[in-house]
Amino acid sequence: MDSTLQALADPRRRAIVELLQQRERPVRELVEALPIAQSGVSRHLRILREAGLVRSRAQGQQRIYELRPEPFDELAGWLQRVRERWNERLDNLERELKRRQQASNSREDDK
Amino acid sequence: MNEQEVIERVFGAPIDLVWELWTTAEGIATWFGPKGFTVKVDAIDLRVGGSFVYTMTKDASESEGPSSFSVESTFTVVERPHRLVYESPWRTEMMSTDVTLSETAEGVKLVLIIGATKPGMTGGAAKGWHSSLDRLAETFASRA
Repeated sequence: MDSTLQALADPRRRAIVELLQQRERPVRELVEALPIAQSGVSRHLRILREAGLVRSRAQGQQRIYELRPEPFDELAGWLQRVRERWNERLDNLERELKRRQQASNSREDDK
Repeated sequence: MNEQEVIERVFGAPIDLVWELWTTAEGIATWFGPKGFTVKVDAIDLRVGGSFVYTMTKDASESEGPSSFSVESTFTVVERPHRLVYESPWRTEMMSTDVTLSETAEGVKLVLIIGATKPGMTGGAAKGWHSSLDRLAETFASRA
């Protein structure tokens, strides 16, 4: 999870990931699609590979890159848990707001 | 693009009361703990750069006694009664909690944005980071 977030913290690597989300691609295509020099693309791909976000295979003369689903599933699961926890808190907040308003209304009534 | 990350609610209550429940030790203690947890606010210095420290205690169960941990956050935006942002250390990153309150015909609208962020990343940069995470998570969630 930490390595996933660190790898995704760079906008150029996020751009690579977004391109690979559409489909697997050879390095050449990534270089053409991005405003980054080939050496930069290679460096970012290496960082993404080391973080376990992408994997590659040789196809003839080309190297094809694709995403590995596991770290992204983990990320989606984490976001889901964060949402659930906050939804629960906000349910509590809503209850407390109602309780306080009812309490202040009944104080008004007593006057 | 970041529906998944953003949580919205509308409360039928005065904005000052919603703000009070978000920004006072006594108010926070009434709702911040998820089920099975008790929250105590140890410090809340409501100004930019001020700290917000709370201790969350897991209620004792049959199998184990109570256990607790503290979270120390720093406020980065405090604009009473409309906006509150604080950052908390989380693993090797920071987690930002961004609250916006606005008065609408239906009541007080709360927009909450939660996300991992890099230390000191605010505004547009943080937004980009949030929405990227969302898109990624969304794509993979819908595919799963």
